[in-house]
Amino acid sequence: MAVVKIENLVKRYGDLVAVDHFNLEIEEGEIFGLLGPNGSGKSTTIHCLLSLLSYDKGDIEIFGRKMTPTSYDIKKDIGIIMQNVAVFQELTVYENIDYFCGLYVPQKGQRKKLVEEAIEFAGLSEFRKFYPKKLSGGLLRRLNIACGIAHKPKLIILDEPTVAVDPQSRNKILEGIQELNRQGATIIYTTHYMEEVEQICTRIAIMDKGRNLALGTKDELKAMIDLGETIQMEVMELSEEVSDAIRTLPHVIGVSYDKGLLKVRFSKGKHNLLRLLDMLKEKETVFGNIHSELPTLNDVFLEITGKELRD
Amino acid sequence: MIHIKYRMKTMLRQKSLIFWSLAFPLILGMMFYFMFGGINDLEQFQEVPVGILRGDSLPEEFVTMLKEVKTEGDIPLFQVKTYDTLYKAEKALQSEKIYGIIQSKDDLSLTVKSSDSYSSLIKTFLDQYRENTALITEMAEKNPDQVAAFVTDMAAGAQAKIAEIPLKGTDKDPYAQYFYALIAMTCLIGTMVGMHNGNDIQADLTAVGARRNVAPTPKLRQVLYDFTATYILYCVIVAVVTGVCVFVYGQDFGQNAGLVLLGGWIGSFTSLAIGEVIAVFIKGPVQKKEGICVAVFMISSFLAGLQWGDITFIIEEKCPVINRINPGTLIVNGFKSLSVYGDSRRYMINMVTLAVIGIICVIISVLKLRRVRYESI
Repeated sequence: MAVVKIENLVKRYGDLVAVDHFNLEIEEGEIFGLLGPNGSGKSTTIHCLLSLLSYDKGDIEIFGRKMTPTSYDIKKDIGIIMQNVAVFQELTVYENIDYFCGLYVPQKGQRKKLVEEAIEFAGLSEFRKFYPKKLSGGLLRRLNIACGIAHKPKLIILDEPTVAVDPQSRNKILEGIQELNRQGATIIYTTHYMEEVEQICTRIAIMDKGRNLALGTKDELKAMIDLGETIQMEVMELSEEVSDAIRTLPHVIGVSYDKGLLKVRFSKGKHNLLRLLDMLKEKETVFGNIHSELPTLNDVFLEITGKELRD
Repeated sequence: MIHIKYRMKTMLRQKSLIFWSLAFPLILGMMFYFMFGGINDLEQFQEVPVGILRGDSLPEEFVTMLKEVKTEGDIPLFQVKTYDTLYKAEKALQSEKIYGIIQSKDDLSLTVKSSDSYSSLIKTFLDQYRENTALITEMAEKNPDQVAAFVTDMAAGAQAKIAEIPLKGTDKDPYAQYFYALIAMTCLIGTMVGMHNGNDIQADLTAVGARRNVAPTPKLRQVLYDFTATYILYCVIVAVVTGVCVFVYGQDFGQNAGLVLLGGWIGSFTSLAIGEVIAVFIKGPVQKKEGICVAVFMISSFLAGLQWGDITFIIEEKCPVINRINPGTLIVNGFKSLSVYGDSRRYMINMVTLAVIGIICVIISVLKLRRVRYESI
């Protein structure tokens, strides 16, 4: 059974179509990535999913039931981590988690245990009596997450949880998400950081202009495009003749040279690196470090939309 | 209980809110205390000076009654001063040596400088006299043989009544209204607290609001939790301010202290509800709503006489409906009904009106909030 089912969702802001006939099904146990640049409609989709926003058209089901603002039986199994840190500045770390957990778990004894676990999980044990304004950006994000997951939800929605977070906290957050998934939660993770999606998501939807452009595992998405690999190498000097010769090699789909760095993009094919090296030796071109890179989701996005993911 | 506990903590830890709700009224009260303290001591109540004109054909029995009527404490109610000319009398009125000029023209006329409690006292006396005179005239026409007995009975009753009516309340201090307005203002600052309540439950206004909207605790319940928490807190604040006015600033609310406190609590309820309405119905950023709340409680306090005591009398003459619906005036008038006029019915009318305004505000904000899905976040 699909944990989340969105059918033909349309959300307009005046003339602007923020979500455009969007369809999605998320299965239990997935870490589902919703990837797209800023303004692509990810957060709007999430807000519609949670019945926070009204929408023009479409059907939304969670756990097989229609989602409405008063679907309290559904809401009790959802954890939400908003893009903006949603905590009370006047309450301490412990009090914030306790308060938000209290909206889901009224029993004091049970809640106390859950709050302690959430504090431990988020690595906030040393900061339990701190007020949010005393926390660093990373710790604040971790508090935001702890407030959203303390009640042990079955479905956790994280909307850009790592914006403006230091690498250490980011890793901690990503590891935490995987741990929550291992504990049985289905995760929806929206971001414009493709590395994060590649690192943790089992399935990914690429969004732009409110539309679902592509859907699949990261390998499936990469298989959709022609690009096989990109080879980069340090070249002291590259003549026009050599550059043109490289373009004639099999599977080459692009050549660029900038500030001593040669970039050659190949479509799928074998022995691309060997052929390139042979060519450079033959042309007596001196080269240094060589780096081969497989296609990224940014390449997928670039090929589908014609623009970079972070444009 | 957890929701109420944390909501109270949230409010208590907002220093600016506590300053405006508690410290500011206390500081203002201190200023009143130093400005007006000792000016009007009830123990030193003195007769109200009234002017009449020499040679005016005022009824003799009226002048006698004017001179002889006394308070329950056996203090003469009026000090009758006789002037040779109207010009001199008016000059005395302007310089507040007298509070009214009574003349025989037009079946007894009263000239006052302004509408204050002293002029009200003189007017009440005149009205009572006119009413009694009319009754005697009517009796003389219908039952002339019983007039003598009737006059004797009525004279005794009227004497007591006239002395009683204006002094039924226990507080004749004209500056007391500033303290009433101060308590009213304390209540009205609750609009800011109510507005915070309203903001923190709306997903399109605050991130916290968004998180609370997706929780399984129904929004109506969350609104009531917030309201209850802040109302309890505000009841304590009003009690503290009232207590400081009584015990520190020496403002004597007499036997009505309990009802003054009750009035403050009803006023707080209504103010919180008005703040909630502002948060729910006014579109725009939090700063805009804060500005509107400040405007609401400042204007309401001004119209209730916080800055200028005579404003309520002027409004009563020009546009009385404002005094009937302005929460600040309703609170102040409620207090004055008790302390100045000793009229518990008027107090009740003011308090019930205030409570009804509050209940209407709560109902419309709840109706607006429940089941809402936002257009944009």
